[in-house]
Amino acid sequence: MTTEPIRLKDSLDSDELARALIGAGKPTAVLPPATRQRIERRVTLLAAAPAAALGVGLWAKVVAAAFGAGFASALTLVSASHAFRQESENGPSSKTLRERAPSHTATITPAPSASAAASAAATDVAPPRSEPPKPAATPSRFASQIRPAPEPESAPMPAGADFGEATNTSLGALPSAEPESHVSLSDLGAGGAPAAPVASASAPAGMSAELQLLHGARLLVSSDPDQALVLLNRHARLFPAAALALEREVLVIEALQHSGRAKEAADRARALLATSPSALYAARLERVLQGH
Amino acid sequence: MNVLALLQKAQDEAASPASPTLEDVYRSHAEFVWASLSRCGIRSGDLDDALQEVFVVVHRKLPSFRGEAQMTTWLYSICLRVASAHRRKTHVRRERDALELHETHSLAPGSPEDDLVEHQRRQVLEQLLDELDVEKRALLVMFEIDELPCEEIAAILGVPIGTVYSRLHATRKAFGRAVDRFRTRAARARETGA
Repeated sequence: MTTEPIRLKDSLDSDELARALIGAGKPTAVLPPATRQRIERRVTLLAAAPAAALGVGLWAKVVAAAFGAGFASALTLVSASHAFRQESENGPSSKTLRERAPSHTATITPAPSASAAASAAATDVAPPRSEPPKPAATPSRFASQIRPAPEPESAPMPAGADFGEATNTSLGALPSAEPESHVSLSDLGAGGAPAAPVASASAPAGMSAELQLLHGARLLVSSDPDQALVLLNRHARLFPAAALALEREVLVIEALQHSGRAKEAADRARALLATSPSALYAARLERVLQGH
Repeated sequence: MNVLALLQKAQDEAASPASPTLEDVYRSHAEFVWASLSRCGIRSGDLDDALQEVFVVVHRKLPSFRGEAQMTTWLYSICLRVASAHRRKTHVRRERDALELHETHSLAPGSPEDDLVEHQRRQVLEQLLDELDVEKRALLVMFEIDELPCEEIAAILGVPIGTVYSRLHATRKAFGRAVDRFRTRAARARETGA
């Protein structure tokens, strides 16, 4: 211990400025108990995910983990486009929504205050495996080309855990390479059903594929814009005329900006403002233009 | 922050026949991972996500963790990788800097003048620390700011204590160069401002 080097701030012959700067440093903060518990819930969900589903990229799994807890929230969220926009604008609130997840079934029920859009989405939610918006993307069409749906790994688990697992599996494949996008869709269709009949009854295959892509992109838009763009491109390819195409374009613009392609982002923002001057997105687009 | 106790615990766990589950690792080491990520320069607004990200990696790699290294050493190496990847997305950091520094500023004690000086120093310190690579940054914070004993640092890094000394030497040199660069920048700013 006596051979320990003298710390800069105790060393008289060290650079005075360096000493003063180091002296101003605050000791590393400790993990707040509330955060500890919150992440522990996510880790528990993660632990329920089958190891087999984890052979894909890191971010895919982060998104998957987020969905394990938050996918049901996302359903409610996207069904009310107003809430959807708000959440995107207040970045951190997406975390709040993830935390709210414990009771999936409860979250899926649209809030009484939700708009007409919400009730429309709720109708979509009802049938177990409703068709996705575009016929081109029906799971049944892809189902023939794909590897078999993942088997449930264990005996019946609580609905929440099953749901997390099913979503994990399907999402895991989403951001991967081109040909696998088919896999992801089929997984979405088939993956949920055998593992969790209860869960799949409230999470329709087609709808979830679209929402998962958008929601995943939204989670990544500032932290990993390139990956977000991959998801958004996939969304554009699979659901070219989707109801949420406008949201997609706004996300693309934001992702472009975050990935340093400010000029491109600004051009697209201006174009979008000109063609769809929706007040709903104007604030976000203007922020992109200001940043430029 | 009693890392030695954690190390002991990890050792005991490694000695026991049952290998730890993901939840076990989280319960024993969440604080350590959090502190390590923070030392690597991840700002408080991003720490939640980074913490989760580390445990996603742990979940995937835990089956192949054989206990050759200390659990903390293994976790620390994951933290370094996650933090390096995070740093490449510098915009995330910049976005939050203003807000966060403002927060720390308002919390600092002392007279407004002291407060301001302290605030400015901390701001410059953060900036200079971010000029170091993640490994050096974390090492400097552990030793110079959190004042961990070298022995403990050696246990975390999984290297002999002599290696810690030599790395510290290199790290201080790098920090010294960053301070010099700052000095030059400041002098130039004064010239152009005057």
